[in-house]
Amino acid sequence: MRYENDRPIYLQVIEDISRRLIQGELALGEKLPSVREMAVQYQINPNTASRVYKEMESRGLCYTKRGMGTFITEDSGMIKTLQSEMAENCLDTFLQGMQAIGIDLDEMIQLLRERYAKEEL
Amino acid sequence: MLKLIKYELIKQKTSKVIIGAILALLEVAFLAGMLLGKEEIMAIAAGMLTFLASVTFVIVGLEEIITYYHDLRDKSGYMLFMTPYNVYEIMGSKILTGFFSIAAAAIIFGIIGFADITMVCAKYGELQMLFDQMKSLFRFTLQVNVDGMLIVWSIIQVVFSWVGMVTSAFLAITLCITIFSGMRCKGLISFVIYCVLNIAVSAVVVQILNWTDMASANGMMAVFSIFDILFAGACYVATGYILNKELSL
Amino acid sequence: MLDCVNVVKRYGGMFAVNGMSVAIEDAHIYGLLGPNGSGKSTWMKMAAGLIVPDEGEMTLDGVKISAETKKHIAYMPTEGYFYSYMKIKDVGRYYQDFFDDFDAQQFEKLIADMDLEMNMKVRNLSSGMMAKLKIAVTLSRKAELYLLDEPLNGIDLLARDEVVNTILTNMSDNASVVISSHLVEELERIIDKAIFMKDGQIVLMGDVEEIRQERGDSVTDLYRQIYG
Repeated sequence: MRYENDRPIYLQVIEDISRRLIQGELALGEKLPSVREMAVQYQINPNTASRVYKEMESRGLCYTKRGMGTFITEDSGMIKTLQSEMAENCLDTFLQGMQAIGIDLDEMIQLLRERYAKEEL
Repeated sequence: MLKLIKYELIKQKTSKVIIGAILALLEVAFLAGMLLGKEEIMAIAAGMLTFLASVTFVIVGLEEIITYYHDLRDKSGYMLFMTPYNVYEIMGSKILTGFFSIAAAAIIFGIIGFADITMVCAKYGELQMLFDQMKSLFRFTLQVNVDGMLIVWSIIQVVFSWVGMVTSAFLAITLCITIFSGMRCKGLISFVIYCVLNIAVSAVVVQILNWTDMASANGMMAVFSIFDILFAGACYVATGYILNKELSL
Repeated sequence: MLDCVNVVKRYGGMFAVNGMSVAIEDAHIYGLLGPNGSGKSTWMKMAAGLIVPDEGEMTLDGVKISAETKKHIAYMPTEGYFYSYMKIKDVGRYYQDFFDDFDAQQFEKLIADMDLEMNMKVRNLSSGMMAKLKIAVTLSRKAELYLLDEPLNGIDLLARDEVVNTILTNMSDNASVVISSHLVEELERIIDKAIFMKDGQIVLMGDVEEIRQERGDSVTDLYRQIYG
Protein backbone atom coordinates (compact mmCIF):
# COMPACT_ATOMS: atom_id res chain seq x y z
CA MET A 1 0.00 0.00 0.00
CA ARG A 2 1.27 3.43 -0.91
CA TYR A 3 1.10 6.14 1.67
CA GLU A 4 0.65 9.82 1.04
CA ASN A 5 3.12 12.16 2.59
CA ASP A 6 0.97 14.82 4.07
CA ARG A 7 -1.36 12.86 6.26
CA PRO A 8 -0.71 10.64 9.24
CA ILE A 9 -0.22 7.01 8.34
CA TYR A 10 -2.67 5.72 10.92
CA LEU A 11 -5.51 7.66 9.29
CA GLN A 12 -4.63 6.22 5.90
CA VAL A 13 -4.65 2.69 7.31
CA ILE A 14 -8.08 3.28 8.86
CA GLU A 15 -9.33 4.45 5.47
CA ASP A 16 -7.99 1.32 3.86
CA ILE A 17 -9.67 -0.92 6.42
CA SER A 18 -12.91 1.03 6.02
CA ARG A 19 -12.74 0.58 2.27
CA ARG A 20 -12.21 -3.13 2.64
CA LEU A 21 -15.20 -3.35 4.94
CA ILE A 22 -17.42 -1.43 2.53
CA GLN A 23 -16.31 -3.56 -0.40
CA GLY A 24 -17.05 -6.73 1.51
CA GLU A 25 -13.44 -7.87 1.76
CA LEU A 26 -13.88 -7.73 5.50
CA ALA A 27 -17.07 -9.03 7.09
CA LEU A 28 -18.96 -7.53 9.99
CA GLY A 29 -17.79 -9.12 13.22
CA GLU A 30 -14.67 -10.54 11.58
CA LYS A 31 -11.59 -10.91 13.69
CA LEU A 32 -8.84 -8.45 12.90
CA PRO A 33 -5.15 -9.37 13.02
CA SER A 34 -3.10 -8.62 16.13
CA VAL A 35 -1.27 -5.32 16.37
CA ARG A 36 1.98 -7.05 15.48
CA GLU A 37 0.49 -8.84 12.48
CA MET A 38 -1.17 -5.71 11.25
CA ALA A 39 2.09 -3.82 11.54
CA VAL A 40 3.77 -6.39 9.34
CA GLN A 41 0.86 -6.54 6.91
CA TYR A 42 0.81 -2.80 6.37
CA GLN A 43 4.55 -2.48 6.92
CA ILE A 44 4.13 0.11 9.63
CA ASN A 45 5.39 0.74 13.11
CA PRO A 46 3.64 -1.34 15.81
CA ASN A 47 2.82 1.80 17.77
CA THR A 48 1.14 3.25 14.70
CA ALA A 49 -0.74 -0.03 14.34
CA SER A 50 -2.04 0.09 17.89
CA ARG A 51 -3.03 3.71 17.30
CA VAL A 52 -5.09 2.54 14.35
CA TYR A 53 -7.08 0.18 16.53
CA LYS A 54 -7.46 2.72 19.29
CA GLU A 55 -8.84 5.30 16.91
CA MET A 56 -11.07 2.77 15.17
CA GLU A 57 -12.42 1.68 18.52
CA SER A 58 -13.22 5.23 19.53
CA ARG A 59 -15.12 5.64 16.27
CA GLY A 60 -17.04 2.48 16.86
CA LEU A 61 -15.47 0.64 13.96
CA CYS A 62 -14.16 -2.17 16.06
CA TYR A 63 -14.14 -3.51 19.59
CA THR A 64 -11.76 -5.58 21.70
CA LYS A 65 -12.71 -8.73 23.56
CA ARG A 66 -10.24 -9.37 26.34
CA GLY A 67 -8.06 -12.37 25.67
CA MET A 68 -9.66 -12.92 22.28
CA GLY A 69 -8.58 -10.05 20.09
CA THR A 70 -10.06 -7.20 18.11
CA PHE A 71 -13.17 -7.58 15.97
CA ILE A 72 -14.94 -5.47 13.35
CA THR A 73 -18.18 -4.05 14.64
CA GLU A 74 -21.31 -6.09 14.08
CA ASP A 75 -23.37 -2.98 13.49
CA SER A 76 -24.41 -3.00 9.83
CA GLY A 77 -25.33 0.68 10.11
CA MET A 78 -21.63 1.38 10.43
CA ILE A 79 -21.08 0.47 6.80
CA LYS A 80 -23.58 3.10 5.79
CA THR A 81 -21.90 5.65 8.03
CA LEU A 82 -18.51 4.87 6.56
CA GLN A 83 -19.86 5.10 3.04
CA SER A 84 -21.32 8.54 3.66
CA GLU A 85 -18.11 9.73 5.29
CA MET A 86 -15.95 8.52 2.44
CA ALA A 87 -18.43 9.84 -0.10
CA GLU A 88 -18.15 13.25 1.59
CA ASN A 89 -14.39 13.16 1.17
CA CYS A 90 -14.65 12.23 -2.49
CA LEU A 91 -17.24 14.92 -3.06
CA ASP A 92 -15.08 17.53 -1.33
CA THR A 93 -12.17 16.68 -3.57
CA PHE A 94 -14.37 16.60 -6.67
CA LEU A 95 -16.07 19.89 -5.91
CA GLN A 96 -12.80 21.62 -5.05
CA GLY A 97 -11.24 20.40 -8.27
CA MET A 98 -14.20 21.42 -10.42
CA GLN A 99 -14.53 24.85 -8.85
CA ALA A 100 -10.85 25.46 -9.36
CA ILE A 101 -11.34 25.16 -13.11
CA GLY A 102 -14.49 27.25 -13.08
CA ILE A 103 -17.20 24.70 -13.72
CA ASP A 104 -20.60 25.46 -12.26
CA LEU A 105 -23.13 23.05 -10.75
CA ASP A 106 -25.24 22.38 -13.87
CA GLU A 107 -22.19 21.68 -16.00
CA MET A 108 -20.83 19.46 -13.25
CA ILE A 109 -23.97 17.33 -13.21
CA GLN A 110 -24.04 17.02 -16.98
CA LEU A 111 -20.38 16.06 -17.22
CA LEU A 112 -20.94 13.59 -14.41
CA ARG A 113 -23.83 11.87 -16.25
CA GLU A 114 -21.86 11.68 -19.48
CA ARG A 115 -18.80 10.32 -17.82
CA TYR A 116 -20.74 7.78 -15.81
CA ALA A 117 -22.45 6.55 -18.98
CA LYS A 118 -19.09 5.75 -20.54
CA GLU A 119 -18.30 3.36 -17.72
CA GLU A 120 -14.61 3.24 -18.47
CA LEU A 121 -13.10 3.74 -15.13
CA MET B 1 36.29 -15.93 29.84
CA LEU B 2 36.85 -19.50 28.69
CA LYS B 3 34.74 -18.74 25.65
CA LEU B 4 36.97 -15.79 24.81
CA ILE B 5 40.00 -18.06 25.07
CA LYS B 6 38.31 -20.63 22.86
CA TYR B 7 37.85 -18.11 20.09
CA GLU B 8 41.32 -16.63 20.55
CA LEU B 9 42.73 -20.09 19.98
CA ILE B 10 40.60 -20.55 16.87
CA LYS B 11 41.69 -17.17 15.54
CA GLN B 12 45.31 -18.04 16.13
CA LYS B 13 45.37 -21.63 15.04
CA THR B 14 47.29 -21.16 11.79
CA SER B 15 50.76 -20.86 13.31
CA LYS B 16 50.14 -23.69 15.72
CA VAL B 17 48.85 -26.04 13.07
CA ILE B 18 51.80 -25.34 10.78
CA ILE B 19 54.37 -25.72 13.53
CA GLY B 20 52.66 -28.89 14.72
CA ALA B 21 52.77 -30.34 11.23
CA ILE B 22 56.44 -29.50 10.74
CA LEU B 23 57.24 -30.83 14.20
CA ALA B 24 55.54 -34.12 13.41
CA LEU B 25 57.34 -34.36 10.08
CA LEU B 26 60.76 -33.68 11.58
CA GLU B 27 60.21 -36.05 14.45
CA VAL B 28 59.22 -38.83 12.06
CA ALA B 29 62.32 -38.08 10.01
CA PHE B 30 64.45 -38.19 13.13
CA LEU B 31 63.01 -41.48 14.27
CA ALA B 32 63.27 -42.94 10.79
CA GLY B 33 66.89 -41.85 10.58
CA MET B 34 67.59 -43.45 13.92
CA LEU B 35 65.87 -46.71 13.13
CA LEU B 36 67.43 -46.99 9.69
CA GLY B 37 70.86 -46.03 10.96
CA LYS B 38 70.99 -42.99 8.68
CA GLU B 39 72.91 -40.68 10.93
CA GLU B 40 72.92 -37.66 8.60
CA ILE B 41 69.14 -37.61 8.54
CA MET B 42 69.05 -37.84 12.31
CA ALA B 43 71.50 -35.01 12.69
CA ILE B 44 69.70 -32.75 10.23
CA ALA B 45 66.30 -33.49 11.78
CA ALA B 46 67.68 -32.85 15.24
CA GLY B 47 69.18 -29.57 14.16
CA MET B 48 65.99 -28.46 12.52
CA LEU B 49 63.95 -29.46 15.55
CA THR B 50 66.12 -27.26 17.70
CA PHE B 51 65.74 -24.43 15.25
CA LEU B 52 61.98 -24.99 15.14
CA ALA B 53 61.82 -24.75 18.93
CA SER B 54 63.33 -21.29 18.96
CA VAL B 55 61.35 -20.14 15.94
CA THR B 56 58.11 -21.31 17.56
CA PHE B 57 58.40 -18.70 20.28
CA VAL B 58 58.76 -15.96 17.72
CA ILE B 59 55.98 -17.17 15.46
CA VAL B 60 53.41 -17.79 18.19
CA GLY B 61 54.30 -14.43 19.68
CA LEU B 62 53.90 -12.70 16.35
CA GLU B 63 50.53 -14.29 15.74
CA GLU B 64 49.30 -13.09 19.16
CA ILE B 65 50.45 -9.58 18.45
CA ILE B 66 49.20 -9.42 14.88
CA THR B 67 45.81 -10.80 15.91
CA TYR B 68 45.47 -8.07 18.52
CA TYR B 69 46.45 -5.45 15.97
CA HIS B 70 43.70 -6.67 13.66
CA ASP B 71 41.22 -6.68 16.52
CA LEU B 72 41.85 -2.99 17.07
CA ARG B 73 42.14 -2.01 13.44
CA ASP B 74 39.81 -4.16 11.32
CA LYS B 75 36.04 -4.41 11.31
CA SER B 76 36.33 -7.93 12.69
CA GLY B 77 37.31 -6.26 15.92
CA TYR B 78 33.62 -5.57 16.45
CA MET B 79 33.11 -9.30 16.94
CA LEU B 80 35.45 -9.27 19.88
CA PHE B 81 34.62 -5.99 21.53
CA MET B 82 30.85 -6.27 21.29
CA THR B 83 30.90 -9.36 23.51
CA PRO B 84 29.69 -8.64 27.04
CA TYR B 85 33.14 -8.48 28.63
CA ASN B 86 35.20 -5.58 29.85
CA VAL B 87 38.62 -4.79 28.38
CA TYR B 88 40.49 -6.42 31.25
CA GLU B 89 38.71 -9.71 30.61
CA ILE B 90 39.31 -9.44 26.89
CA MET B 91 43.01 -8.65 27.23
CA GLY B 92 43.30 -11.21 29.99
CA SER B 93 41.92 -13.88 27.70
CA LYS B 94 44.52 -12.98 25.08
CA ILE B 95 47.36 -13.19 27.56
CA LEU B 96 46.12 -16.48 28.96
CA THR B 97 45.73 -17.90 25.47
CA GLY B 98 49.30 -16.96 24.71
CA PHE B 99 50.55 -18.30 28.00
CA PHE B 100 48.85 -21.66 27.57
CA SER B 101 50.01 -21.91 23.97
CA ILE B 102 53.61 -21.17 24.70
CA ALA B 103 53.68 -23.27 27.87
CA ALA B 104 52.23 -26.16 25.91
CA ALA B 105 54.80 -25.63 23.18
CA ALA B 106 57.62 -25.54 25.70
CA ILE B 107 56.43 -28.71 27.38
CA ILE B 108 55.93 -30.54 24.09
CA PHE B 109 59.31 -29.54 22.74
CA GLY B 110 60.81 -30.34 26.14
CA ILE B 111 59.35 -33.83 26.22
CA ILE B 112 60.29 -34.57 22.62
CA GLY B 113 63.77 -33.19 23.12
CA PHE B 114 64.25 -35.21 26.28
CA ALA B 115 62.90 -38.38 24.66
CA ASP B 116 65.02 -37.95 21.55
CA ILE B 117 68.20 -37.30 23.52
CA THR B 118 67.54 -40.27 25.78
CA MET B 119 66.94 -42.55 22.82
CA VAL B 120 70.04 -41.32 21.07
CA CYS B 121 72.17 -41.77 24.16
CA ALA B 122 70.80 -45.24 24.62
CA LYS B 123 71.68 -46.15 21.09
CA TYR B 124 74.99 -44.40 20.86
CA GLY B 125 76.88 -44.92 24.10
CA GLU B 126 79.60 -42.43 23.09
CA LEU B 127 77.07 -39.64 23.06
CA GLN B 128 76.08 -40.42 26.62
CA MET B 129 79.72 -40.02 27.64
CA LEU B 130 79.89 -36.74 25.76
CA PHE B 131 76.83 -35.40 27.58
CA ASP B 132 78.23 -36.48 30.94
CA GLN B 133 81.50 -34.74 30.19
CA MET B 134 79.66 -31.57 29.22
CA LYS B 135 77.70 -31.67 32.46
CA SER B 136 80.95 -31.96 34.49
CA LEU B 137 82.42 -29.09 32.54
CA PHE B 138 79.40 -26.90 33.32
CA ARG B 139 79.56 -27.86 36.99
CA PHE B 140 83.24 -27.17 37.18
CA THR B 141 83.52 -23.90 35.32
CA LEU B 142 80.15 -22.20 35.82
CA GLN B 143 79.00 -23.90 39.02
CA VAL B 144 75.84 -24.88 37.19
CA ASN B 145 74.18 -28.22 37.77
CA VAL B 146 72.74 -29.35 34.48
CA ASP B 147 69.85 -31.33 35.81
CA GLY B 148 66.08 -31.50 35.71
CA MET B 149 65.60 -28.40 37.90
CA LEU B 150 67.69 -26.29 35.57
CA ILE B 151 65.66 -27.40 32.60
CA VAL B 152 62.42 -26.68 34.42
CA TRP B 153 63.56 -23.21 35.49
CA SER B 154 64.82 -22.52 31.99
CA ILE B 155 61.46 -23.35 30.54
CA ILE B 156 59.64 -21.27 33.15
CA GLN B 157 61.91 -18.31 32.55
CA VAL B 158 61.56 -18.48 28.79
CA VAL B 159 57.78 -18.73 29.01
CA PHE B 160 57.47 -15.80 31.39
CA SER B 161 59.84 -13.63 29.46
CA TRP B 162 57.76 -14.40 26.37
CA VAL B 163 54.62 -13.33 28.23
CA GLY B 164 56.40 -10.12 29.20
CA MET B 165 57.41 -9.40 25.62
CA VAL B 166 53.95 -10.06 24.25
CA THR B 167 52.10 -8.02 26.89
CA SER B 168 54.43 -5.09 26.37
CA ALA B 169 53.80 -5.43 22.64
CA PHE B 170 50.06 -5.21 23.37
CA LEU B 171 50.72 -2.02 25.30
CA ALA B 172 52.84 -0.57 22.51
CA ILE B 173 50.22 -1.36 19.88
CA THR B 174 47.48 0.09 22.08
CA LEU B 175 49.46 3.30 22.49
CA CYS B 176 50.11 3.43 18.77
CA ILE B 177 46.48 3.05 17.79
CA THR B 178 44.82 5.10 20.51
CA ILE B 179 46.96 7.78 22.08
CA PHE B 180 49.38 8.29 19.21
CA SER B 181 46.75 7.89 16.53
CA GLY B 182 47.16 11.38 15.13
CA MET B 183 50.93 11.33 14.88
CA ARG B 184 52.95 10.56 11.82
CA CYS B 185 55.65 8.35 13.31
CA LYS B 186 53.32 6.55 15.66
CA GLY B 187 54.60 3.12 14.60
CA LEU B 188 58.19 4.05 15.13
CA ILE B 189 57.57 5.77 18.46
CA SER B 190 55.61 2.79 19.73
CA PHE B 191 58.30 0.39 18.63
CA VAL B 192 60.97 2.46 20.37
CA ILE B 193 58.91 2.52 23.56
CA TYR B 194 58.54 -1.23 23.29
CA CYS B 195 62.27 -1.79 23.01
CA VAL B 196 63.07 0.67 25.78
CA LEU B 197 60.60 -0.97 28.16
CA ASN B 198 61.95 -4.46 27.58
CA ILE B 199 65.57 -3.42 27.80
CA ALA B 200 64.89 -1.41 30.94
CA VAL B 201 63.31 -4.38 32.69
CA SER B 202 66.27 -6.61 31.86
CA ALA B 203 68.68 -3.93 33.04
CA VAL B 204 66.80 -3.54 36.31
CA VAL B 205 66.88 -7.28 36.95
CA VAL B 206 70.59 -7.49 36.20
CA GLN B 207 71.21 -4.68 38.67
CA ILE B 208 69.17 -6.43 41.34
CA LEU B 209 71.07 -9.65 40.74
CA ASN B 210 74.32 -7.76 41.16
CA TRP B 211 73.20 -6.23 44.42
CA THR B 212 71.93 -9.47 45.92
CA ASP B 213 74.96 -11.29 44.66
CA MET B 214 72.86 -14.18 43.44
CA ALA B 215 75.06 -17.14 42.63
CA SER B 216 72.71 -19.96 41.73
CA ALA B 217 71.60 -20.21 38.11
CA ASN B 218 68.16 -21.42 39.16
CA GLY B 219 67.88 -18.48 41.51
CA MET B 220 68.74 -16.04 38.75
CA MET B 221 66.12 -17.47 36.48
CA ALA B 222 63.58 -17.33 39.29
CA VAL B 223 64.27 -13.64 39.79
CA PHE B 224 63.99 -12.94 36.07
CA SER B 225 60.73 -14.85 35.99
CA ILE B 226 59.25 -12.89 38.86
CA PHE B 227 60.13 -9.59 37.29
CA ASP B 228 58.86 -10.67 33.91
CA ILE B 229 55.53 -11.52 35.46
CA LEU B 230 55.40 -8.20 37.30
CA PHE B 231 56.32 -6.42 34.08
CA ALA B 232 53.64 -8.32 32.18
CA GLY B 233 51.11 -7.47 34.90
CA ALA B 234 51.96 -3.78 34.73
CA CYS B 235 51.65 -3.73 30.95
CA TYR B 236 48.32 -5.56 31.19
CA VAL B 237 46.89 -3.07 33.66
CA ALA B 238 48.19 -0.12 31.67
CA THR B 239 46.72 -1.50 28.44
CA GLY B 240 43.35 -2.06 30.10
CA TYR B 241 43.34 1.43 31.56
CA ILE B 242 44.11 3.03 28.22
CA LEU B 243 41.50 0.99 26.39
CA ASN B 244 38.88 1.94 28.96
CA LYS B 245 39.48 5.59 28.21
CA GLU B 246 40.36 5.59 24.56
CA LEU B 247 38.84 2.59 22.83
CA SER B 248 37.60 3.62 19.43
CA LEU B 249 36.72 1.00 16.86
CA MET C 1 15.81 3.27 28.49
CA LEU C 2 18.96 4.70 26.93
CA ASP C 3 19.94 8.07 28.29
CA CYS C 4 22.58 10.16 26.65
CA VAL C 5 23.73 13.39 28.25
CA ASN C 6 26.03 15.87 26.52
CA VAL C 7 28.14 13.27 24.81
CA VAL C 8 31.21 14.43 22.93
CA LYS C 9 33.68 12.52 20.76
CA ARG C 10 36.62 14.19 19.07
CA TYR C 11 38.99 12.87 16.45
CA GLY C 12 41.97 15.14 16.21
CA GLY C 13 40.51 18.58 15.77
CA MET C 14 37.19 17.35 14.47
CA PHE C 15 34.05 16.68 16.48
CA ALA C 16 32.26 13.51 15.43
CA VAL C 17 29.65 13.97 18.14
CA ASN C 18 29.38 17.40 19.68
CA GLY C 19 27.25 17.62 22.77
CA MET C 20 24.43 15.24 22.04
CA SER C 21 21.67 14.55 24.52
CA VAL C 22 18.76 12.24 23.90
CA ALA C 23 16.51 9.82 25.76
CA ILE C 24 15.54 6.66 23.91
CA GLU C 25 12.33 5.22 25.32
CA ASP C 26 10.90 1.73 25.42
CA ALA C 27 8.86 0.26 22.59
CA HIS C 28 9.56 2.75 19.86
CA ILE C 29 11.32 2.57 16.56
CA TYR C 30 13.57 5.56 16.08
CA GLY C 31 14.94 6.79 12.79
CA LEU C 32 18.37 8.33 13.22
CA LEU C 33 18.65 10.49 10.15
CA GLY C 34 21.27 12.68 8.62
CA PRO C 35 23.92 12.77 5.90
CA ASN C 36 27.31 11.06 6.09
CA GLY C 37 29.48 12.46 8.80
CA SER C 38 26.65 13.75 10.96
CA GLY C 39 27.75 11.48 13.79
CA LYS C 40 25.15 8.72 13.59
CA SER C 41 27.55 5.77 13.48
CA THR C 42 29.81 7.24 16.13
CA TRP C 43 26.85 7.73 18.46
CA MET C 44 25.68 4.17 17.92
CA LYS C 45 29.11 2.74 18.55
CA MET C 46 29.30 4.69 21.78
CA ALA C 47 25.99 3.23 22.89
CA ALA C 48 27.30 -0.21 21.94
CA GLY C 49 30.46 0.28 23.98
CA LEU C 50 32.82 0.19 21.00
CA ILE C 51 33.87 3.81 21.33
CA VAL C 52 34.50 5.60 24.61
CA PRO C 53 33.14 9.16 24.67
CA ASP C 54 35.49 11.99 25.56
CA GLU C 55 32.83 13.77 27.59
CA GLY C 56 29.33 13.13 28.75
CA GLU C 57 27.52 10.05 29.92
CA MET C 58 25.47 7.26 28.39
CA THR C 59 23.42 4.86 30.47
CA LEU C 60 21.06 1.98 29.80
CA ASP C 61 18.38 1.79 32.51
CA GLY C 62 20.70 3.75 34.72
CA VAL C 63 23.73 1.52 34.16
CA LYS C 64 26.77 3.11 32.52
CA ILE C 65 27.67 1.65 29.11
CA SER C 66 29.88 -1.32 29.98
CA ALA C 67 30.15 -5.10 29.70
CA GLU C 68 26.81 -5.34 31.51
CA THR C 69 24.90 -3.15 29.05
CA LYS C 70 26.37 -5.04 26.09
CA LYS C 71 24.27 -7.99 27.20
CA HIS C 72 21.10 -6.08 26.41
CA ILE C 73 22.10 -4.06 23.38
CA ALA C 74 22.29 -5.62 19.92
CA TYR C 75 24.41 -3.52 17.60
CA MET C 76 24.66 -4.06 13.87
CA PRO C 77 27.47 -2.15 12.15
CA THR C 78 27.31 -0.83 8.60
CA GLU C 79 30.15 -3.00 7.41
CA GLY C 80 30.67 -6.72 7.30
CA TYR C 81 32.43 -7.71 10.47
CA PHE C 82 32.47 -11.44 10.83
CA TYR C 83 35.72 -13.38 11.03
CA SER C 84 36.54 -14.48 7.51
CA TYR C 85 37.34 -18.03 8.55
CA MET C 86 33.75 -18.53 9.68
CA LYS C 87 30.82 -20.16 8.00
CA ILE C 88 27.31 -18.88 8.64
CA LYS C 89 26.73 -21.60 11.23
CA ASP C 90 29.92 -20.52 13.03
CA VAL C 91 28.58 -17.00 13.25
CA GLY C 92 25.42 -18.36 14.86
CA ARG C 93 27.50 -20.46 17.20
CA TYR C 94 29.56 -17.43 18.20
CA TYR C 95 26.50 -15.39 19.05
CA GLN C 96 25.03 -18.31 20.94
CA ASP C 97 28.21 -18.66 22.97
CA PHE C 98 28.35 -15.05 24.00
CA PHE C 99 24.76 -13.81 24.16
CA ASP C 100 22.20 -15.40 26.45
CA ASP C 101 19.41 -13.70 24.56
CA PHE C 102 20.31 -15.35 21.25
CA ASP C 103 17.63 -17.61 19.79
CA ALA C 104 19.35 -20.23 17.63
CA GLN C 105 16.12 -21.55 16.19
CA GLN C 106 15.03 -18.14 15.08
CA PHE C 107 18.42 -17.69 13.47
CA GLU C 108 18.00 -20.91 11.51
CA LYS C 109 14.58 -19.82 10.37
CA LEU C 110 15.74 -16.38 9.30
CA ILE C 111 18.70 -17.81 7.41
CA ALA C 112 16.39 -20.17 5.54
CA ASP C 113 13.88 -17.37 4.83
CA MET C 114 16.65 -15.28 3.36
CA ASP C 115 17.85 -18.02 1.03
CA LEU C 116 21.16 -18.47 2.80
CA GLU C 117 22.73 -21.71 3.92
CA MET C 118 24.46 -22.58 7.14
CA ASN C 119 27.51 -23.93 5.36
CA MET C 120 28.24 -20.87 3.28
CA LYS C 121 31.58 -19.27 4.00
CA VAL C 122 31.53 -15.67 5.15
CA ARG C 123 34.33 -14.72 2.78
CA ASN C 124 32.30 -15.92 -0.21
CA LEU C 125 29.18 -13.89 0.56
CA SER C 126 28.09 -11.12 -1.77
CA SER C 127 27.37 -7.77 -0.17
CA GLY C 128 23.64 -8.46 -0.35
CA MET C 129 24.02 -11.79 1.42
CA MET C 130 26.28 -10.24 4.01
CA ALA C 131 23.67 -7.57 4.72
CA LYS C 132 21.04 -10.26 5.22
CA LEU C 133 23.27 -12.31 7.48
CA LYS C 134 23.94 -9.30 9.67
CA ILE C 135 20.25 -8.64 10.07
CA ALA C 136 19.50 -12.30 10.72
CA VAL C 137 22.05 -12.65 13.46
CA THR C 138 21.28 -9.32 15.11
CA LEU C 139 17.51 -9.82 15.15
CA SER C 140 17.85 -13.34 16.49
CA ARG C 141 18.87 -11.73 19.74
CA LYS C 142 16.01 -10.83 22.06
CA ALA C 143 17.62 -7.58 23.08
CA GLU C 144 16.23 -4.55 24.87
CA LEU C 145 17.71 -2.14 22.38
CA TYR C 146 18.61 -2.74 18.77
CA LEU C 147 21.00 -0.34 17.08
CA LEU C 148 20.96 -0.91 13.34
CA ASP C 149 23.41 1.12 11.31
CA GLU C 150 22.19 1.37 7.71
CA PRO C 151 20.43 -2.00 7.67
CA LEU C 152 19.12 -1.54 4.13
CA ASN C 153 22.49 -0.77 2.58
CA GLY C 154 23.55 -3.25 -0.03
CA ILE C 155 20.11 -4.86 -0.10
CA ASP C 156 18.24 -4.78 -3.37
CA LEU C 157 14.82 -3.19 -3.63
CA LEU C 158 12.83 -6.40 -3.37
CA ALA C 159 14.74 -7.74 -0.41
CA ARG C 160 14.28 -4.50 1.51
CA ASP C 161 10.67 -5.36 2.28
CA GLU C 162 11.95 -8.65 3.66
CA VAL C 163 14.37 -6.85 5.94
CA VAL C 164 11.72 -4.39 7.11
CA ASN C 165 9.39 -7.30 7.84
CA THR C 166 12.12 -9.08 9.70
CA ILE C 167 12.67 -6.05 11.88
CA LEU C 168 8.96 -5.70 12.61
CA THR C 169 8.34 -9.35 13.34
CA ASN C 170 11.43 -10.25 15.26
CA MET C 171 12.15 -7.44 17.62
CA SER C 172 11.31 -8.44 21.16
CA ASP C 173 8.23 -6.97 22.83
CA ASN C 174 8.87 -3.66 24.49
CA ALA C 175 12.25 -3.40 22.82
CA SER C 176 13.32 -0.25 21.07
CA VAL C 177 15.08 -0.01 17.77
CA VAL C 178 17.23 2.83 16.51
CA ILE C 179 17.75 2.65 12.77
CA SER C 180 20.16 4.97 11.10
CA SER C 181 19.74 5.40 7.40
CA HIS C 182 20.03 7.49 4.31
CA LEU C 183 17.07 5.67 2.81
CA VAL C 184 14.51 7.76 4.62
CA GLU C 185 11.61 6.91 2.34
CA GLU C 186 11.92 3.18 2.83
CA LEU C 187 11.90 3.48 6.57
CA GLU C 188 9.33 6.21 6.95
CA ARG C 189 6.49 3.83 7.64
CA ILE C 190 8.13 1.82 10.36
CA ILE C 191 9.72 4.52 12.44
CA ASP C 192 7.54 6.37 14.88
CA LYS C 193 10.10 8.87 16.09
CA ALA C 194 12.58 10.75 13.95
CA ILE C 195 15.90 12.13 15.16
CA PHE C 196 17.67 14.45 12.73
CA MET C 197 21.42 14.85 13.23
CA LYS C 198 23.78 17.39 11.79
CA ASP C 199 27.45 18.00 12.60
CA GLY C 200 27.37 15.76 15.61
CA GLN C 201 24.26 17.27 17.17
CA ILE C 202 20.52 16.74 17.13
CA VAL C 203 18.78 19.47 15.17
CA LEU C 204 15.24 18.14 15.38
CA MET C 205 13.41 15.30 17.03
CA GLY C 206 9.77 14.43 16.81
CA ASP C 207 6.95 11.96 16.55
CA VAL C 208 6.43 10.95 12.94
CA GLU C 209 2.64 11.02 12.95
CA GLU C 210 2.63 14.40 14.68
CA ILE C 211 4.99 15.78 12.08
CA ARG C 212 2.60 14.66 9.36
CA GLN C 213 -0.44 15.96 11.19
CA GLU C 214 0.93 19.33 12.21
CA ARG C 215 3.22 20.18 9.36
CA GLY C 216 1.67 18.22 6.56
CA ASP C 217 5.15 16.94 5.80
CA SER C 218 6.45 13.45 5.65
CA VAL C 219 9.76 12.71 7.26
CA THR C 220 11.24 12.58 3.78
CA ASP C 221 9.96 16.08 3.05
CA LEU C 222 11.32 17.31 6.36
CA TYR C 223 14.66 15.70 5.60
CA ARG C 224 14.88 17.65 2.36
CA GLN C 225 13.97 20.83 4.17
CA ILE C 226 16.60 20.40 6.86
CA TYR C 227 19.49 19.29 4.69
CA GLY C 228 18.56 20.59 1.27
